[in-house]
Formats: sequence, structure tokens, C-alpha cells
Amino acid sequence: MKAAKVAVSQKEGKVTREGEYVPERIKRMRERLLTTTFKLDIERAKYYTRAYKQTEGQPPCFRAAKGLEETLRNIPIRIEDEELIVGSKSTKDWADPIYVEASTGQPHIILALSLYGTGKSVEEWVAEAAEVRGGALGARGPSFWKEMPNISKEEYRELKEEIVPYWKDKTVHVLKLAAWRENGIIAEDGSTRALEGWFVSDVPPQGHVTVGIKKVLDMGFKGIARQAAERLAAFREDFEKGKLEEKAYLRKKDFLEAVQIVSSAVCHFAERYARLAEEMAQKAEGRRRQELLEIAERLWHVPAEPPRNFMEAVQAVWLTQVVVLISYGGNSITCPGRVDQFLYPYYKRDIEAGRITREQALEALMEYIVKLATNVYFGPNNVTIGGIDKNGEDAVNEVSYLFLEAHRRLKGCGRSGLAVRIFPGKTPREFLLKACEVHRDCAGVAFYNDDVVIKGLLEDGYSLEDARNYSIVGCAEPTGTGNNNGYTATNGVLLAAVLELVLNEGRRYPVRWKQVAQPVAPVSSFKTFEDLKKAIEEQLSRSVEACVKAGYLKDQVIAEHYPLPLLSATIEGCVESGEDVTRGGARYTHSAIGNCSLATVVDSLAAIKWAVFDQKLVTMEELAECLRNNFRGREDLRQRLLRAPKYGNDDPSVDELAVWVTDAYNKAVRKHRFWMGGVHRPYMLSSATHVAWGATVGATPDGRLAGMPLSNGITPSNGMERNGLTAVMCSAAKVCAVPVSDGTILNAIVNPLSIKTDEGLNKFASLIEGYFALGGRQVQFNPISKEMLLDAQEHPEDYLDLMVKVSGFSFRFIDLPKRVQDDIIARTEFQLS
Amino acid sequence: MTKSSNLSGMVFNIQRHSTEDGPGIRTTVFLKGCPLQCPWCHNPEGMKMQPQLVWYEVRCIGATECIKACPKSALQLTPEGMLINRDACDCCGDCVKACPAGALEVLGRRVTVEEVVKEVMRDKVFYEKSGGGVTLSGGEPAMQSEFSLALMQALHQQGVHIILDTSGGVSWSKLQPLVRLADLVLYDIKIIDTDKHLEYTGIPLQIVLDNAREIAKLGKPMWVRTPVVPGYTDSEGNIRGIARFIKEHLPMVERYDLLAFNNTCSAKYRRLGRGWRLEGLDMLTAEDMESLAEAARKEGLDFVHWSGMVRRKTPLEAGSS
Ligand code: SF4
Ligand code: SF4
Repeated sequence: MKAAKVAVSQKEGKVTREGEYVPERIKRMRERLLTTTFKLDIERAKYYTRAYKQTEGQPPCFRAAKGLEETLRNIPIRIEDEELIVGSKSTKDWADPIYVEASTGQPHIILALSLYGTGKSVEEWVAEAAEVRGGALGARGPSFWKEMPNISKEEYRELKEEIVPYWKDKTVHVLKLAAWRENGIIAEDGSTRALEGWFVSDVPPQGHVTVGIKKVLDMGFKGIARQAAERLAAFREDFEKGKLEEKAYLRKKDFLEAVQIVSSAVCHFAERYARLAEEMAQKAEGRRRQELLEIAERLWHVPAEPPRNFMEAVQAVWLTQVVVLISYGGNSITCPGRVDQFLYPYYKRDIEAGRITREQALEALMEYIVKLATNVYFGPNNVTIGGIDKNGEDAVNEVSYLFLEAHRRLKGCGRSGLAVRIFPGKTPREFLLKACEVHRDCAGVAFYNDDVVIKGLLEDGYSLEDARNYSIVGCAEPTGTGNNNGYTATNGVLLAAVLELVLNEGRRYPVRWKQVAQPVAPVSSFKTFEDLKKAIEEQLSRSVEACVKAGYLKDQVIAEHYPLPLLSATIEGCVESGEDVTRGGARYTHSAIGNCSLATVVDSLAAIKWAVFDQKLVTMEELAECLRNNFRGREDLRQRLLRAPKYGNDDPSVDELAVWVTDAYNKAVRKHRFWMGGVHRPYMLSSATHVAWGATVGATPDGRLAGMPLSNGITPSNGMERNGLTAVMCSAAKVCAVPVSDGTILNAIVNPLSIKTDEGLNKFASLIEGYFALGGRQVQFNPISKEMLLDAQEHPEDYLDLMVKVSGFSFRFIDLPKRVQDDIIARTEFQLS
Repeated sequence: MTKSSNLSGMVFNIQRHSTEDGPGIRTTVFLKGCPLQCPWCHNPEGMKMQPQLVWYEVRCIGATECIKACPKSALQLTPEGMLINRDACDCCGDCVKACPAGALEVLGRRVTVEEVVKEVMRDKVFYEKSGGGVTLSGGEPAMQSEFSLALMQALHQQGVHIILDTSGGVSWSKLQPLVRLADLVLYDIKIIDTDKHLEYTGIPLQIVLDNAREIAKLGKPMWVRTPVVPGYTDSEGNIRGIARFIKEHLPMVERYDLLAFNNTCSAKYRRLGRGWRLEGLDMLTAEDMESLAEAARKEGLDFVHWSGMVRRKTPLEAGSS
């Protein structure tokens, strides 16, 4: 019997290119963003410092609320000539308010203090002690930070004499270290046990949440303040009736009063803009005068009250995010969530009433996207679009398409991007094609498989409705929308470091092979491959445990000292329960332990299995010795190891190991309950960290030399995929079957030439569909070719708007340090066609 | 599995995610052996039926393990590179195993129908999603007609969309059974001038044109393709001639593709120990390709596409147009 034909005809969806038009005012804003450099803004730190000095001894939510209130009342505000949607965290064109409570050791502060007035450039400063200082700058190169010392004398004085001295012994960083010391997490020599392969960052101390924007649109901040007052009255009654203990009551009281303070502070902040717009209107003429009056009208109304039309809704969405970012300070990662869903009802009503045209809405979204891009220097503020709704129906709407169109026309000027949700079989192919079409012009889009993501969220304890309503946070982390505190990506374990500990009896490369941990077993005791696997499991479990404990201690510091009343005001569950998000007030609370370097470790295991146990080319001890010597004198062995079977080739024997590693890690993570309740979720992504961390890991058995980049996300090691992208996807999909529900990233490249035609575009879309049919969770593409990137390295001035997605972040390529650029170039060897 | 699933053939590559060999996402099986001798051949490793040893200069670390391992003393490392005595070498592969750096490779391996089917079916889901399938290419699949037939039969059983990519330079009796099993035929017509065809490809044009008409008679959908090579096949007359032939004799043609020549394969020739006549030949511009496609359209074809790498116009050319 002949089976039915699988393939009847080629898929031939069409994408009509809508146009290229970008209004002049948006072009100017975009241009300004692309040509400006990141600056230091001390305003927030100044007012928070003032407020904290005045509120010594008061309860924590009150202090945080006062800090925000003081800031929103006093920071300078501005309305640009081009703007219709207003509100900004800084009057400098591109700057973040310093979240000084986190640490006084952040790059902005260090650079300003060490370089102001010296005439020395950031480059020179780094060059003087390259090893130490390069690391201090994080994922950005010196060119990115070069403006930091360019502040006024008064700013410098304030920072040096008022701000930093006050916070020195009070930051999350300092208090966290003290807690770690007390609990034996810091070794006697002062180094943290982080060498055991885990990390718990304090910048951002938390972040990684979706702001409860929908709640703000539904209730307005005035409504939220009323809700808080009602809840407080109810708790008072409980307390008076003896149903609530005094301590708990006082804590709730502190929180709910703080919610009221911050809510009215936000309303007042909006009014400041309204007043400014009115003042400016007096001096303006013609059309601009009218625009300014409209701006004022909007801001007298939102976000205090629910919006009455589309433009008010966009303004409210934007301003809510701005104030949350100010409350958090810079570099926190707060995503707006499913903005297409939020905005659509307003859009539909206005279109039907003839109050707005499609082009006007598109223009508003372009402005919003440019603003999102100015909003962050680091964290991605992805907007989530598409997918299904709470009832499981296709939720793609006209605004979803408008977001894609706006993003494409702007050529992804964003340091942020779009998270495109696809429910296989439900999401229209037309929408997928439209998202693929964006790649003809730019990067910045990531695809998510609703089917897999929703299942993961269900396992993590979300209700079906809330799981279906998920948003993407940070790089690629699915969480509920506006109803949780997910701590999705600040703590983790470096798998390659775990392997290094196992192969070196507790010694590590970055400290010249000093002993940093108790060995789980000597290398000579690995008589079989299974022995080695067991040792890895044990070390992994230890490292994860240390990470959980360290994370818990940090969380305690934040809950006790730096709660987040404004964020909490917007998040479902907090006002209801009278608890801040940092104390588990949200409807869902969970945490995450991430990892990096999957492929490096899987390839290493495959190489050991092949070379040591199957081919017996080398013994375990010899191999470990070779690694410590960085293969000196053994290039032949290294070459053989490079040719051992590798992950990403749909080779069952290796993929099996990938699944094993992922599963072992998943189990090690899920074993621990989160202290606030909820689960710890595993994730596998890496921003530019796979490069930075690579520098801290010695040679690995896969043939990688010491200090070289590690693999990223669940992507195969650079250049090790030899069977084409479909094979990569077959391998990666197997890893996705493990519930790494806090997110995985598969990075791929698409040659923009190969998708110029409709035919090519359809093949591209089908590739994504195929991956999702196999169970892939997420995939993202950089539309670049190697030639293009090499050219950009040589002529950066021609590539001001070349954005590449590194992990969940879209970075401007020319801003990346050379090492990261080289890593991306190495990845482009492998192309779609 | 039937007996024919044990049949084996000489294959030099199985390329997954191939997007240039027909509709959808495909896997292309490249078979060794070709009756034609086109100087512009892009897959020179497909010409000979026998396996061939190649040496990758960039990978070699000069370990000379290969030389020690060779039972035929066929290798010699000279300052100009690895000298392979191709008369002595029987492609036993001992040197390949011995080389730590993967600098040697035997192109062409004997695989059974069953093995190929297993390999290509790994991407089944991508064929389904894209309307793709498997393409038999080469070389010339009809040169290993028995194996190709068995492979196509087996793929047919699996319900996969099959493309036969043929040069048409074989007898109809060999080609016919393969054509019958194909869902679509990719058919090369390179030169419409009788003398030049024989001169460049080594095969009379008549065979190619006759086979094309036979395929049309069977009612098989065809995509005709012409490699556009500067100085060889890129005259407007040639393209128009081919287009006219299609218009007059091949009603089943769905598409006419012009494939722009590029010189990325020169290293392949070097590795096979051969010089390449076309080394250094310049690429065409997008404008060249577009005007040829237009010429073909003028002959009444409305399904002409062109693809491939092109070069930018030089300032001089740009100025003159
Ligand atoms: S064994 Fe490999 S690396 Fe060594 S000389 Fe031969 S080809 Fe080169
Ligand atoms: S393939 Fe065999 S015969 Fe040929 S060079 Fe290598 S070892 Fe010698």
C-alpha cells in the first residue's frame, strides 16, 4: 500500500509589503537615539538619598514610597518637540536613573567617580588593568560607557559626597555579602563560593517581571489607591477583631499606605506633564499648539483614570512602565506584556467611531517602540504579541500586525524587541509570515511555541487561563501577565564550571587551579562513564543548593529593606493580600535557576565518552591534565576531540546526553521549593554572558581552549552544527521536552537574501512550524551574513542601526565588545541556505 | 524491508535543509557519477563514479599520521601541500582514520537504500510543513539507475514528495522508470546550440532535447534550469532559444530557472587534484540576470525566475547605465 502523499503542494502564503513610510518626527527621534551615547543621570539617586535620610527608622514600604514620591515630584521633566506620547525616566536623551540601593559598585558609578576630571578615557582606564576592569563593565564595551565621566561638577560632588557615602553600608550588595558571610557562603579568604559555579546577581536585584499594566488600564491609579484604602480598612477590622496579628497588620498597613502614596505620586507626576504641555502650548502655534493641548488633556486623565481612547491607552501603557522603571531604577527588566491585547479594544472602538485611522495608530506604536528602545540600556523590554487568549481562541488582532509593521519600518531600532507567540494550528499563518517578513529588514523578533510554553506554565502551578495569558519577560522567560513575581533570571549555575570542578577535584581555572570546593570524587575513580555522570549529578546538586541558599539570603535583604510598592500596586494579588511582591504578595510567586553552556558541556561529555571510554585514546587523568595545560603540546588530541560527535546534528547518541544533562539540572533545580512558595524553574539562556563566563572557564573536553566563549542557550557550539538547521532543530527540540519552563533560547541565522522572495519567506516560516511541531519552545534569528558583520566591524559608522539579538537582548552590533562581535561572526558561518 | 532496500549506491552527500532544489524544505541526496563534463560543474565531486580522497589544507596540522597509515604509500606532504598519488590510492580510508585533524576525507560512500531512507526521513515534519521532500541529484541519478529506482520506490512508500534532478544526458530507457516515480523533474538545458553543447558537455544536444520531450509526453511537471555562465551560456540568444524550445515542446514546464554562476567551488577542484578552467571567471550582476530573465519572458514564458549570487556593478558599469 502506498501511503498518502505527505506533501501535496508548496505552501504559498503571500506577504504584501505595506510600505516604508516613517513620519519625520519619528525619524528624528530614532536618529537621535541611534547617534547618542549612554549617559549618567544621578537625579533619582539624589532624591532617593534625600528621602531615605529623612525617613531613617521608618518601615520599609513607607521609605520606598517616599523615595519615589520625592523623585517624581522633583526630577526635571521635558517634552520634546517631536513627541505626542510623553514621559521619560531622564531628561538626558539616553540615560538610566541609578538604582543606587542595589550597589555603589555599578559601572556608571565607578566610572564617574574614578574618571571625572582626570581627562582619562574609559578605554585607557580599562587598558590599565584590563583583566579586572574589563569585567566590571559587563556585557558592554568601553565605547558604550564613554560618557560616564562627562557630568557637571555639581553632579560629581553630589554623587561623591552625598550619595555614595550614604549608601556604602546599606546596599543590597553589601547586606547580601554580610548575610552570606554569616551563613558561610563566603570562604575564609574572602572570595565567595561562587567559584563553585553559581551566581546570584544584585544588579538588577530583581526585575524580570511584567508590570500589571492591564490593572492600571482597568482601574487607573486612583482606583488602585481606593482599592488599597479599602483593603487597609478591612485588615484594620480583622486586626481589631483579633483575627490578624499585630505584626502582620503593621506590615500590611505599611504596604497599603505605601501603595496609596505611590499611586498619588504617579498621578501627580502625570499632572506635571499636563501642566508643562499647557505652558508650552501657550507659546506654540498652529498644529503643535493643538497637539500640546491634546497631550495635556490626556495626562490630566491617565494613568489616574482608565483611558477613554486609543491614544490615552498608549500614553497610559507607556507612562506606567516609565514610573515603574524609575521606582526600580535603571537596569531592571520590566516588561509591558501583551500590549496588543491591552490596546485592541481601544483601537477597535476608535476605528469604528472614526476617531483614529490605521496609519495614526501605526504612528503611535512607532513612537512607543522608539521610546521602549530609549528606555533601556541593558534589559530587553520585549512586547509580547499574538498567541491565544484566556479561552484558548486565536488572539491575533490588528494591533498585533501593527506592532510587526511598526517594528519593521523602524528597522528594529530597539534595544528591545517583539516576542511573537504562535499557537500551532490556531495562529494564522499570515501572522507568522508577517513576523518572518520583518527579518528582511531587521532582527529583534523571537518566536514562541504557545503549546509548549503553556504546558510548562501549567506544570509550574498556573491556572489554565493564566497560563494561556502568558507574556515574555526579559530574554525569553514566560510568566503570567501582571500577576506574578517571577525572579526569572538573576540566579544560576554555570554548567561548564560544574564540569570543571568534577574533572579537577574541586579546583578551578580562574584561580590558577586552586582548590575551591570539596571534590565529589577523584577523577581516577571514574571507571565508567556512568561514574562520571554520577559525579556531575552530585556536583550539580551541590552548586544548585548553594545558589538557592545564596538567593534566599539576598531575597531576604530585599524584602526587609527595599520592597517595591509601586510595582506591587499593579500586580494582581498584592493589594488584595496586603503584601509586597518581595514578600510573596503576588498571585504567583516563583523563582528561577538558570544555566549557561549546555552544548559545551554536552559536547564535552560526548567527547569523553568517545575518547576515554569507547576509543580509549586517553585516560581520564591524562585528559584532565591536558585540560589544565590548555592542551599544550597535545594539539593532536584537541583536534580529535573537536571531531568527536557533537550536539546539534540530530545524532541520537549525543542528543541523549543533552537530554540527560538538562534533566539532571531540571531535577536539581525543582527539588527546592522557593521560600515564598512556588517552584524554582530552570532556564537555559545567556545574554552575552556566555562570552564573559567563557573567560572564567579553562579548556573543556570538547576541544574548546581556555577562556574562549561557551555555547549559548540551547544553541550548538559555534561551528559544530554540520547537518543543517533542521538537524539543529531536531536536537534542540529534544532538549525542549524537558520542562525548562523558565525559558530556552535557540539562536539561528537567516541570510536576508534567502528570504527576499515569497517562496523563500514561506520556507522560512515552515522551518519555524517544523521546529514547533517537534516541540521546540523558542527560536530567534539574526538576519545577517558574515560579510555584513565583518564590514560593520571595519566601518561602524555605516551600521548605526544594525541590531543583533544576543540572547533575549537586541544589541547594537557596533556597541558590543570585540570578543562578543567575534563570537557572533563565528556563529554566522552557519547559514540558512 | 524488501530485498531492494539492501541495494547500495555511491552517494557523496546527503544535504538536509536544502532550500534551492525545488519546492519547500528538502533533503538532497547527491549521487556520484555523471555522463556530462560541463566545465562549470558546481559539484565536481559528483562527476566520477568512484570515491575520491581529498585533503583540506586549512585543517592539516602537519601531523603526517596519514602518511604512516597509508598501506599504498600514496601520500606525500610537500611544501605545495599533500600530494595524493591517485593511481595508487584505492580510497581505503586508513589515512582518514589516522588523521587527528580531519584533514582528509573520502568523498563518496556506499550506502544502502534503507540507510538513505532512514536518514532523509528524519526531516519528515519539515517536508510536511513546507510542502517539501527529497531531491535526488548528483552527478546524475540515472547513472546509478538501479539504486536510484529502488530509493525512489522506497521513498514513494513513505509518501514523500520526490524530485528527480537530471541532466537528461542518459538513454531514455534508463531515465524513464525514474521519471515515472518522480513527482517533479528538475531538468537542465544548458546550451541550445548543437555544436557548443557537444563541445562543452561532451554529450549530443539531441539526447537532452529528446528526453525532455519524452518527459513531457508522460505528463510530468518539470522545472527547467539553465546555469548562466559568462562566456558559455549567458548569451541572450541561448536563453531565448531554450525558452522557445520550452514554449514549443514542453507544456508541462511550471517554471524556468536561471541560476547565476559563482566561483565558490574552485577549492573543490583543487582538492580533487584538478585545475579549473573557469577559475577567476567573474560573476554576473543582478541587472545581467534580470535582462536574461526578461529575454526568456519575451518568448512567452511567464514563469521565469533567477537566483544565485551576483556581484555589484563596477562604478564604470553603473555610470554607463
Ligand atoms: S595526518 Fe592529517 S594533519 Fe597530519 S599530515 Fe596527514 S592530513 Fe595533515
Ligand atoms: S585512502 Fe587509503 S590508499 Fe588512499 S591515501 Fe588514504 S590510506 Fe592510502
